[in-house]
Parts: sequence; C-alpha cells; structure tokens
Amino acid sequence: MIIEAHELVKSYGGFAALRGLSLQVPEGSVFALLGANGAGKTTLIKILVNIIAPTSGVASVLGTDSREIGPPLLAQIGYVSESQSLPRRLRVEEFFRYLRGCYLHWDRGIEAALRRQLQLPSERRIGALSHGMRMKMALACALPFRPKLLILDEPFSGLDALVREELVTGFLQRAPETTVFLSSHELDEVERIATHVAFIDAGQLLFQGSIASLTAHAEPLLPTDATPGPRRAALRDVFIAMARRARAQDAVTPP
Amino acid sequence: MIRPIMRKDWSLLWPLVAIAIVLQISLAWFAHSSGLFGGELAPRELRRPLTVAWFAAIGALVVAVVHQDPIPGADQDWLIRPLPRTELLLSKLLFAVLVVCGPMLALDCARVLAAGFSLSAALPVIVYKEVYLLICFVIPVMALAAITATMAELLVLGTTLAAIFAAALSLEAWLLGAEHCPTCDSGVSWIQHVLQHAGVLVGAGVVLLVQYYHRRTAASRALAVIGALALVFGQLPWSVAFGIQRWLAPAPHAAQAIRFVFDEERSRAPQQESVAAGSLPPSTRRSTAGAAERYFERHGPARTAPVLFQLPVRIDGLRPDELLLVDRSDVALLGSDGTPRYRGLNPGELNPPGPVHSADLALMQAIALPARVYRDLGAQQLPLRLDYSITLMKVRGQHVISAVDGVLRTEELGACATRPDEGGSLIQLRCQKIGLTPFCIGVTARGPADQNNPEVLQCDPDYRPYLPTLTDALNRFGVDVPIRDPTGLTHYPLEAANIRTLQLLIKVYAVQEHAVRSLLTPRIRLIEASMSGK
Repeated sequence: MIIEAHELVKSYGGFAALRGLSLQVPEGSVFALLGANGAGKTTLIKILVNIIAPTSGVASVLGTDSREIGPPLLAQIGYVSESQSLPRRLRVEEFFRYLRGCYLHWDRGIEAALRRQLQLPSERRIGALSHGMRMKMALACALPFRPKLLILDEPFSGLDALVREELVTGFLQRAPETTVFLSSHELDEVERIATHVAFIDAGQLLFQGSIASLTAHAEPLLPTDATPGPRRAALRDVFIAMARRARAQDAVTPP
Repeated sequence: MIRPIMRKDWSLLWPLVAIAIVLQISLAWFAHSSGLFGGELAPRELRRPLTVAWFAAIGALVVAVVHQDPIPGADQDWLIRPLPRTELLLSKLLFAVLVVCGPMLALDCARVLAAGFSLSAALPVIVYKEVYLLICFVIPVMALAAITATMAELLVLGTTLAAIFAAALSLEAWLLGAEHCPTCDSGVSWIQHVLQHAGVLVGAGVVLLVQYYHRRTAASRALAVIGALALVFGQLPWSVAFGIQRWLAPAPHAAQAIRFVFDEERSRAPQQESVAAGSLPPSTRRSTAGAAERYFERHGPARTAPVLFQLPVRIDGLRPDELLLVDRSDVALLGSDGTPRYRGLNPGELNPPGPVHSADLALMQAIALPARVYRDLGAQQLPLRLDYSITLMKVRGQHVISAVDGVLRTEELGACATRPDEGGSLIQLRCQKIGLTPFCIGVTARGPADQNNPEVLQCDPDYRPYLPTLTDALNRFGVDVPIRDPTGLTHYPLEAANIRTLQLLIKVYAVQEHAVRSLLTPRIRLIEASMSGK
C-alpha cells in the first residue's frame, strides 16, 4: 500500500473533521476520494503530506509516518490543491526556474512537453493567470520530478469542460507509473479515470474498494426503482445512497 | 536549496530592495554633505523623516522576505516542496543580511573614507554596527514576521504588542512608583539595554526555531506577549546594575580618598527655608526644585508635590584633574535604633548642578521627600543618611585647537573643527569620531596672555563600553563655548580679546572608578526652617 491511514481523528476545538478514518491506497492505482463539501477530504490530504498533524491515529505515506514526512519524501510526492497559494507576482518561467532548483531530479523534457501542451504563457505573472490556467500550471509543476505519488485535491474544481478534458487526457496519461490519489466531488471525471474509490462523509469512511466491486457492494442500498444504467449514474446514486444512510444512522446514534 | 529560494525572493522583492538602498544612499549623502556643523536647515530637516523611512523600508523588506514563504497557514506552496527548514530559514536570514546589512556596510565604508578616516581602523566598528543592527532589529523583525502571514496581520500583532507593552509600563509605574525603572536616564542604563537586547535576541531566536521547525504559531505569539511583558518588568535593581558597572571600572581604588561630609559649619548659618515646591511660583520652582520637581511629576501620584530642603555638604579628596559625577542618591530617615523609618530615591540634585570639579565648592544637596513622609516624620528629630552612587572621572587627554577655523584630528576625539556663531558670542566645537565618543569633555577658551574663560563642562553620563548607535558608525559630539554675553549680564575674562587669537583647550575625562559613599547627618527636625543640626 502506498498510503495507509488508521483511525485518523482530527479535531478543531469541538469540531471533528475526521472521525476515526481508515484507508488503504494500493500502489499504481488512481484512487478517488469522494465526498461532499466539508466531508474531510482536504483535512485528510493535508495530514497525509504533513501540513497538519492528526489529533490521533496514524497515517503512513510511501512507508513513512506522515508526521515524519520531510524533504526527501516530499521530493517523491506531487501535490496540487485548489487552494494552493502560489507566488502571484512571480512569472510562470520564474516559478519553473525556482522549482528546478528545489528538486534534485527534474525532467526538463517533461516540463517542456507539459508547458507546450497546456499552453502556459512563460512571461505572464501567476497572479494574472485565470483560475484554469493556474491549475494547469500547478499540475504541470507536479510531474517533471517524476513523483511516485501524485496527490490532487479538487483538481477539477472551477474548471470548464475543455480544460478538464485536457487534464484527464493530457496530464494524467503522462504519469502512468505514478499512483494518483485525488479528492473530488466531481463524479463525472472521477468515473472516467479512477480504478479505486473511497466515499467519506462527515469525517467517516463509508466505502472503499475498486470501481468494479462498488456496484455489487452498493446494490442493496440503491432504491428499488433505480434502473441499472451506465456506471456514471451508478456512482452518483451509490454515493448519495451511502451518504443518506450514514446520516440517518448518525441521527439515531447518540454522540 | 538556498540559492533558488533567494533568487525567487530577489525576483519578487528587488523593487523594495532598490527603495531601501536609495534611502540609505540619500541618508549617507545628507550626513556627509552636512559636514561637522550640520549644514543647511532644509536638508537637516529632511534627514529625520528619511531615517524613519529607511527604518520602515528595511523593516518592510525583512517582513516581506519572510512573508514570501509564510509560516502560519496550510496552503503555502513551500510546505509541499522538498525544502529543508534550515535552508529556508537560512535563505531568509542571508537575504536580509545581504540586502540590508550589505549595502549599509558598503555605504558606511564609503562615508568613513570620505570623512578622511582609515578604513582598517573603521572596519571593525562598522562590522560591529551591522551585527548589532542584525541582532537588535533584523532578527526580531524576522521573528515577528514568522508568526504572521501577511503585512496586515503583522500590523495588528505589532499594535497589540505595543498596546500590551504600554499597559504593562503604566501598571508597573503604578505598582512600583519611583523604582519602576531604576536605571533609566542614568549612565548605567546600557546594562539594562544589553539585557533587553539579549532577551529580545533569545526570544526572537526561539520564536524563529519554533516556527520554522514546528510551526506552532499560537505558542510563538504567546511567547511574543511574554517577551513584551518581560521587557517591562525585567528591570535590574540599581544596586545590581551599579555593582556590574563598578566591577568594570578601570581603576578600582581611585576614589578611595573621596568623602561626602555634612558641612556643620555652614549648617549653623541661616539657610534657605524648606518649602513645598508646589506652593512656589513656576519660575522659582524651575530654578530651585529642578530635577526633583520633574521627577515627582513623572513618578509621583498627582497633586503630591515633594517637600524640598537643602543640606550643606562638602566633598573631600577630589584632586584638581578629577571630576565627580553623582549617579544617584538615596535618602533614609533613621530611627533611634538606626533602622530606616523611610528610605527612598532622592531625586534632588547637588547645587550647583552638574559634575563636581573642585573640592572647594560650597555644595547644597537638595533633598526631596514625599509630602506624606514630611507630614509623618517632620516633627521628629531624626538622623538622615544619604547613600551616593558616584563616578570619579579623570583627565585622560588634552588637546588644543584654534577657536576660529581650527582643525584637529586625534585618535581620542576623531576629527574636530571650530567656528564662531553668527553673533560672535559662541565658539562652536564639533567633532566626529568612529565608534564611541567621549561623554565628558571640558573646554576652556584661552587667550594669548594666559587668560582663561571658565571651563565649559559637557558630561552626559553613558558608561557603556560598546558602540552606542544603531544607525551610524560615525558619531558626532560638540560643545558651544560662550565668549561673550550679548545681553551684557555676564562678563567673561576674554570677551574683549580678538576671537582669532583664542584657542580652545579640550580636556577629555575618562572614568576611573564607580563607588558608593554615605553621608550621615546629626539628628535634625525637618519642619524647622534652618538645618541647624540641633
């Protein structure tokens, strides 16, 4: 397993963002973490890359306790987040130059190909880029050092269909040997690229497994009038059904 | 990894660096072009706001470089890059050193060369000054920047800390009264400052380490608040500070012969009546109450004017080439068993005020007691004890310079020049020196026929053994020597002489020893108008 989380709890004052969450991400998979807004996806991801520490529980990433993650391991992890704060006054070219110096192994061929393919304007300041362009740039910065693990936090959020398509076809296909762990509530794209999924709601894991096992697992939960259809519909229906059941259980279980 | 981070910061911050350097160059230019006598008024007026702007610019620069990769928060790009924390911290520190201290060092070197001083002699002082600025300004500002993510946050935090500091000062003054800052405005205040600077440096270092290695912003902010409170309440007692100063004195037994004596003979002559300073008209109060009145205005509760009286005293054992400075006096009214019924700081000065330069002077020691003490103990016959902390100074060197257009360059004084003022009533002596300047000099105008005006003494006690300023390696000092009174009220022996024939004899006084002495009076009744010692 490339990521293993065990009984993770994260509390902010009286609010529990994660409530005993356990998770395993197999090596080589494209693992999609699905959940509604506020489900705890970003919190989990920030724990996995040691930006924040869990209140309790343990997570290991690439075989290392997440709290011990330092520069050597970060050199093997690509991370892109919707909320990532980039130096706005720096030009695109300057930012790439800065990153080249930060990594011991930086493939300038991959960098050039990605910049060409994503049509990133070298002389434009990062602050002057549109949201979509900025996300493309962040994604293009996450591959040239050939990470073993790519963590993407809501990479499709706020992007139009064309840009999403570019990312799915152009970007992720360039990292065939990389395990991808992505969080999203955009089920359409996830369904196309994920090999494994996990549903979380209110800081708890509802399901994790391969896409193939999902439908079978979820069959009893689906409403009887739900017609078997394409996988896309099933993923949405399953997610909604699981979330409703979990919330209903929460409502009857005293805290 | 240091290089890419610095290069990135340079790409983002070079305009601010350029502004800071332009301000530094302007300041250096004004300082140089104003010469020894201060130059024209307009550029002189510009220098102060420029200095403030320069400090603001270098402060903003230090904050900005830290804020390029802020510590608080969870969305910063650097958190997910393989940047060792040590290298991140070092890159910020190195950037600040290079863009703040580097240009300053170059400009200071240019200035001392332009002023005609040797670079090899000046370089250690200049480097020392840059290190001092780094320790006392750059690193603390870096620490404040490390516990904030934006300039707005820093302003809010800085304002909060300043408010806490001010409230603590006020509380301390209310709780401790006169002793809330025992070394303030004295020659030994540098010891307190060194401790404060060391405390700030250690605190800033801890904050930087906690932030860069553990990112515990709440704990670091709490530490900053504790530091602000410690700055206020961590005051050295006078006895400790003066004890350290005594230990540092160069000639430990030089003041052995010095004695303070109650002058009984003069006490039998009619004396000035004791007065409540609050009842005197303002002009009289200024002349008689002086420092004591000001002291109680600052340190005492409202509307409790001190009761002032004067004791005739004499100082024995002072040699002609020596000066005595009274750093502090404490007054105690003793009970019959010798224990103090009252003991407190005496803000009253020796009269005539200033350094004592002759054992023949008929001195009066002003004593100021709180009205409450006077009311409770004034009718009783009690001995009074004065405990003095004193500094003995001795002439270390003498130099002569023409009174008009004189030029003098010595190791002790640096570069000096003279000129008369526009009215021809004063001779202005101005000097600039690398590093520490003498804090006590006496200047005597001498005529061609062995006639002298009285010596003008300028002593502003500051016993620090290190460079005193944050902003300038070249320090200035000077004395105005009166030769005639345009109003005609005062007559000087040399006022009729041709000013071009006059010379100035400059005596540089240096500390010999810091000592403590006591003076015990016979039993006295305070409410009696004359200090008869009955």
